[in-house]
Amino acid sequence: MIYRVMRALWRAALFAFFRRVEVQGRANVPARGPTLIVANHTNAFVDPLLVLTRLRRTVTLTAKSTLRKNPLLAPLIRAMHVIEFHRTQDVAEGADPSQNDAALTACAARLAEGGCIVVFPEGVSHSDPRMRPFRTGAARIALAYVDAHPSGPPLALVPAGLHFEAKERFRSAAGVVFGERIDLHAWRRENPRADARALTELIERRIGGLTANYEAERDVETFARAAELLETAGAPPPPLGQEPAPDFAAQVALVHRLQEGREWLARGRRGELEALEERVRAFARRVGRMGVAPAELFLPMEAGRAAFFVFREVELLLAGAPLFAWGWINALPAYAVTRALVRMTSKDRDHFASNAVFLGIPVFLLFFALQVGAVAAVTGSWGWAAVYALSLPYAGAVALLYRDRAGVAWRRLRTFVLFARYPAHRRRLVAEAESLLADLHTLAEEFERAAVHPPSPA
Amino acid sequence: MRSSTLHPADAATLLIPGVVSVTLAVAVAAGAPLGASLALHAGMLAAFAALAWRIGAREGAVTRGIAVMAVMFTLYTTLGHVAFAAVPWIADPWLEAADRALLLGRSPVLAVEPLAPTGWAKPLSFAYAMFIPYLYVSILLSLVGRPPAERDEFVTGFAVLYALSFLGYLFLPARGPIVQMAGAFTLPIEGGAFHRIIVRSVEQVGGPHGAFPSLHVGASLFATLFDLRHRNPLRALIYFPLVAAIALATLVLRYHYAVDLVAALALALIAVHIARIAIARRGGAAHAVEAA
Repeated sequence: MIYRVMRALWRAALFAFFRRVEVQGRANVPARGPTLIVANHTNAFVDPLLVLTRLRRTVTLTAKSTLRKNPLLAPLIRAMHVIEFHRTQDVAEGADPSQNDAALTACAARLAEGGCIVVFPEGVSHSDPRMRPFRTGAARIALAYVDAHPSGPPLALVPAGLHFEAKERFRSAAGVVFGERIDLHAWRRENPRADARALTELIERRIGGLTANYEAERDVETFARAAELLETAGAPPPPLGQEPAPDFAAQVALVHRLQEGREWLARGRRGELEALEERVRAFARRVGRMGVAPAELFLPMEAGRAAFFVFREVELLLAGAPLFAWGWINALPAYAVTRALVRMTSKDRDHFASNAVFLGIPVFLLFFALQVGAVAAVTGSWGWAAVYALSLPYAGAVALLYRDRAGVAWRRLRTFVLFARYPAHRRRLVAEAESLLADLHTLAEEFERAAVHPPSPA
Repeated sequence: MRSSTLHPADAATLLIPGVVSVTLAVAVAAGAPLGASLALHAGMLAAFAALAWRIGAREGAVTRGIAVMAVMFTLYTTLGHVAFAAVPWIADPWLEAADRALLLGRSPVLAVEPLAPTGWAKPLSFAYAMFIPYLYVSILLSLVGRPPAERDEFVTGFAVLYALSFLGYLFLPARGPIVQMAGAFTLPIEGGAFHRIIVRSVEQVGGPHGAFPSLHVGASLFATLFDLRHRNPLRALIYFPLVAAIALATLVLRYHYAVDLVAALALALIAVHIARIAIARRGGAAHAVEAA
């Protein structure tokens, strides 16, 4: 019961913080039976919540023992039966690594009951451009279960890649990609002598395949800009509201391909590679200076389409204005307090979203309860108070979606006006984008040929 | 290549003038003076059949959407006169009885009567009047602003909803509580300017008719559900309160029984469902043809 209530609240909080949360490969997570989900860890408490709220089955969370010191989290940790791990780096804060055997036993017992556990093998949330070295805890949990139950229900080990468009940005997109599951019993039969380190390497490879990892921070930007440009395919952007859902798996595949291509180019044509990367960066700077989103570079400049766009957006935004205003005004006090608290408590990029989600829930519930009480007192009717209470989440959801839509409509309108006022700028940008796209495609073809027919050693 | 499979929107649209024409032919054979109406509906059937044959299976044809809307809106006005003359019964007493059964002996329309002379009547009249702009804008946005498959799904759902509703208009002809229960109402409707516009509009289409089911509720709910299903939850959420207000307004303004609203809700859900399945299957068939 508590689990279901908390899952619903967290789902609502994630809906409020993220513009959209996409799930891919959900079918890879078995509906029942022992399951161990292993994922990368880049957004603190949001990571487990993302997995937990996207699955119908009950998920057991694991966490570092020091979280119990947080007065907000301690009761939750108890109520949700979170399994706590004592990390060696937390000894100074009271962690006791000798208790980890008990935690491993608890995990094995939960799996033996047919439970599902989520573990983050990196052991710490971070903002590095690539995954941190994996610890062996997840592999040890899996092997402990398999070795203790050699003929028991098969353990499914599901790698997951967690993705964030911009993890600290309110109303950005997030996603979970569940990869192909590993049948641990089958793996054990094939690798009877393998230890936790070997399984950890396999887990790391699988999660690495579901996430984009970079050598340096500078590469993140370069690859992201090149990928954005390639994703446009030189085609007009879809009408607002008809954009396809972010395909994080495809984005990762594209980045991996770009990385392979880059390695290939770096081997024999480093100068060409550096020039290309500089062109991509310079182009991104120019587009950024104009305030144009890469997806809108190929915006059609047709009067008919523009008129329909204006009609559609004005109709929507005018009709929605009263509900937006109602939702915005009523959520404003709770929103302002949450924002102030989050800014006060967030010391790094990793914890902004987590703090917003965890602090937002009690703050919004408190403010909404006070407001409903005030309405009941003013009107003298609990009926009106109930109607008002129902209107709060409804109008709040409208306000969030309205804000998103007004934002993208404004951005597209601005791009259109900019391009209409400065057609020469637009022509130059489009020409440069097309030239970059053509060069990238040519290189991709050369790379394909080289991969199929590698040059002779002679 | 023209596919031999009839488009589901065409099938639903052909069904209703077909049924109306057969019903009228039977009535004419029995001596009813409905020859002109029979000619009109048979002509409509032939014209749409010719158009459907010409368009064929083409995906997302805007012409199909316009033709379907034209047929349905024409039928909306003609059925009001025809149904009462062609069918030898009136469904109002049955609907009123069903309505009372729904509220354990009490009429829902009479239960909301106290709202009629209050400040509620004006905003409810406004909501009722807003049905037409909401529906027309939804149709326009769906015909022009959606990808072909979604456009086809919208047109199919719309055709299914109207076709099924018109079967109700034809075989359960009813004028609604405003006529059937006129003597039971004791309070006036203080709906202001919008109510006067509504009354005039209803008179222009031959007075109250087509009570079962409520197309005001059915069509507006269908448009909302369609937006919700097709990547426009914001528009759906914005207009859902209007749909709820329209539903309440139909009772307060005495044009519908509560059972009409229940039927409308069911038909809107059915239309969304049938359209989704029909177009998905069609997509599968089209891909199979392409692959072959």
